[in-house]
Amino acid sequence: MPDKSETRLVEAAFNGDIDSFGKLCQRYYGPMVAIAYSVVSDHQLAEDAAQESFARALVSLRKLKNQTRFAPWLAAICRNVAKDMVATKVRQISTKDFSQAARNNTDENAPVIRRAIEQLPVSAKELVVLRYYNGLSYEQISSVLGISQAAINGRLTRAKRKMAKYLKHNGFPENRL
Amino acid sequence: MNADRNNKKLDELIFKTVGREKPTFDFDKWKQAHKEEIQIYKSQTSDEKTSRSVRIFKIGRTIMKSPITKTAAAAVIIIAVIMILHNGSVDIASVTWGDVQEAFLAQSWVHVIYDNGREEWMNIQEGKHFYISEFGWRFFDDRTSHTRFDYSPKSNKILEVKSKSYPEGEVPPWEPRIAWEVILGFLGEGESRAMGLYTDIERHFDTVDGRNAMRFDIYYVGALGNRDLASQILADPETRLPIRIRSRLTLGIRERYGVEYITGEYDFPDTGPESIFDLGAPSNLKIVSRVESVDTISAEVQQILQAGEKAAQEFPKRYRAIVWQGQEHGTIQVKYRNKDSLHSLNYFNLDGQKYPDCHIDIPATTAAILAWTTNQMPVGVGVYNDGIIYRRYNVHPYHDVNKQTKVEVHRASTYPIPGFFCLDDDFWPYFYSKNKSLKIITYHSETPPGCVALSNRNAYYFVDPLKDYISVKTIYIRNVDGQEIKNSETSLSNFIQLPTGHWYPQKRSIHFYDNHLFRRELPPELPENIDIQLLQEDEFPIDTFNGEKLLEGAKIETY
Repeated sequence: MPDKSETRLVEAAFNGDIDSFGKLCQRYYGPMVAIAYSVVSDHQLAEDAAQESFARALVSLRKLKNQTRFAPWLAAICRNVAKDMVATKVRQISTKDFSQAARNNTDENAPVIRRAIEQLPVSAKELVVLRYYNGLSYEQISSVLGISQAAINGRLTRAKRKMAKYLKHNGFPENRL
Repeated sequence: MNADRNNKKLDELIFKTVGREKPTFDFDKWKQAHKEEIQIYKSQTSDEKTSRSVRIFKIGRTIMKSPITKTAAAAVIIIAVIMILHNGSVDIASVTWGDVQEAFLAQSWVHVIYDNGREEWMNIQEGKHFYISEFGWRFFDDRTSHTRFDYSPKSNKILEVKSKSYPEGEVPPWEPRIAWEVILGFLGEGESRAMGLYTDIERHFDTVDGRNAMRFDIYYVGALGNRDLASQILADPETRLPIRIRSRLTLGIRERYGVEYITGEYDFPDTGPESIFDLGAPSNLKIVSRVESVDTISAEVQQILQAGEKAAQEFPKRYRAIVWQGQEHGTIQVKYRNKDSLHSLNYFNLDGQKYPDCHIDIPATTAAILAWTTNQMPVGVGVYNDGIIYRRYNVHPYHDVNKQTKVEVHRASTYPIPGFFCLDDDFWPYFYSKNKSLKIITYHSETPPGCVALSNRNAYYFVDPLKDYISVKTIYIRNVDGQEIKNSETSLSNFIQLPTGHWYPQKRSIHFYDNHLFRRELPPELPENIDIQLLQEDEFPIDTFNGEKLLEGAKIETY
C-alpha cells in the first residue's frame, strides 16, 4: 500500500499541482525504466518509454478512480507504452539485442544469464528486472506492482529457480550458482 | 521470508548482467518536452478527444525517427482513416486492449454476472474475490490473507481453508494475483500466451445495445495449430471499460449441455460483498477451519527419492514392452518407447467360444502374441511425440463403447501424458506421487523382506533397494472419517535383469479392494505378464511415433 506522503502527492497532482506530479515521477522513474526495460531490452528506449508513460499518465490522471493505485496504474501504462514501441518497430527487439548487449558487457556469464532471463514468462522477467536493474527493495516493488511482499518473494524465488534450472540444463557449472 | 536473498551467487550473476545505476530524471527538462500534455492537464479539460489527439501526436513524435517507421505510420494513418470513415468515430479506433486494462485498474470493484447464473465480484485493490458458481456453490477467496471460504448448497458447514507459506516463501495453492489477471488477463496474456495457447488479441468494431463498441477477440490455438474462438470482450469506447464478455465453453460442457457460449455483463460498483454470507450462505452455519500445512521431507526419504529418480532415469529408454493378462481373455498391450517418444496399443483378447477371431490362447509366447496383434484392431492407440499427445479410439466390432472412430489431440503442456503410455514410469510410482509428503514408516506389517516402506496420505510404497529402488508393492488407500481403507494393491514379482543389468518385473498383479472406484461389481485380481525387449533406434516399426497417422479416417478433436 502507498504511504501517506504518496497519497497526498497523488491527491495534490489530481487537483492540479504539477510539482506533486513531478515528485511522483521522480519516485517512480527507476521502477518504470526497469519495467520498460523488461519489454524493450534497451536502456535508452526504456527511459523514453518511462517518460512517455508520465505524459500519458498526466493527461489521464483524472480517470484514476482509486488514487491509492497510482503506481500499479502507472506501471500498466508504462508496459503498454513499451509494448507499443516494440509493436511499432521503433527498433527490432529480440534476443539479438540481448546478444548485442551481451557483447557490450565484458562479463563472460552475461550472455547465458540474459538468455536465462529471456526464457522466463513475461511477468517473472519483469519482476527479475525490477529487482536487479537498479536494486529495488521488496517494498518498492510491492508498491509498484500492487501485490504483497510475500507474493513477490514467492514469485522471485520461482523465477530464480527456473533460471537456475535453465542454466544447469545449458551446462552452466553448478558450483557457480 | 526473503528466501531469494539466500542464493547469493545467482543474485550476483543477475545483478552483474542487468544491474545498472539508478537512472536520473530531470522533471524540468521533461516539462519542456511535454508542454502540450501539461497544458491539457492544467486546463483540466474533459475533452478526451483533444487529449487523445495530443497523445497520438506524442507517440508519433517518439517513433517517427526512421524512414521505415515513417512508411509504417503512413500506412497506419490510411487504415485509421478507413476505420474512421467506416465508424465515424476516432474514439473507437483508438481503444486498445492496453487502454481497457488501464481503465479497469483504475476502478474499485468489478462485478460480472453471467447468463448461466455464475456471478463474481472482485476488489481490484485488495484482490478479494467472491464467486457464485452456476451450481450454487459460494467461494470467497481472500488473497490478502491466503484464506478461502467454501460453501456448497448441500453442505451444513462453511469450510475455511488457510494456506501456510512454504519455507522458501511460496504460498500455494492460490497465489495472489491482481484482479486484472483473475477477471480478464488470463485471456491470452502471461504464461498461457507465452506457451502459444492463444493468438494475439484481435480488435473489431461492434455494437452493444445499439451503441458502438470495440470488440476484442481471442482465439485458442489447438494442439494441431487450429484456431478456435475462445472469448470476445466488448469495451465501451468512452470509458474504455469492458461491458460484456462472451466465452466459449469447454468441449465437455458444450456437449453435455448443448450450450456453446456464456455471456457475462460487467459493471464497476464502488462497493462489494464483505463475506461469504453476503453471497447467500446461511448465517447460522458453523465455520470449520482447516490449515493446509506443508510437509517437510526427511534426509532419508530424500535419499530414496534421489536413488529412485536416478534408477528411473537410467532405465533403458528404447524398448518394446508387451503386457498381457494371464487369464483366457483380457487385455493385451504393446508399448514402444524411443527416448521421449511413446506409443501404446491396447487390444482385447475376447472369449474364444464367442469371438474366435478375436482370441488367442493364453499362455502364449511373445512372438505368438505379436503375430496375433497384426490381424487385430486395437481398441485404443496412443502416441506421444514432440509435445503432442494423440489418443485414437477405434470402433471395435465386439466393443460398442466407441460409436465413432475418434482421435483426441492434446498438448502435453496442458494435459498429462496418460500413465499407460509408458510402462517404466509405473515401476517408481512414489517418485511421481505427491512426494513432498512422503515419510518412512517402520511398522507396516505387509512390508516385504528387504524393502523400505514409504507412505503419504494416498499410498504405501514398498521400495526394494536391491531391485533398483522399484516399488515392488504399492497399496493405495483413502481415509473415511479417520479410518484408513484400502482401494487397491499392485504387486510386482518375478524380477529379471535386462542385458543392461536393470531389473524389471515379469509379473504384475492388481487387486481391487473397494468398489467405489468402479460403482459396479469388483473386477477380479488382474495378474499380468510383462516382457521387455530392448531395441536399437532403427528397429522400431515404421511410423510408430507418427501421431498424424492416427488421424486418418477419424473424427478429430483438438484441445
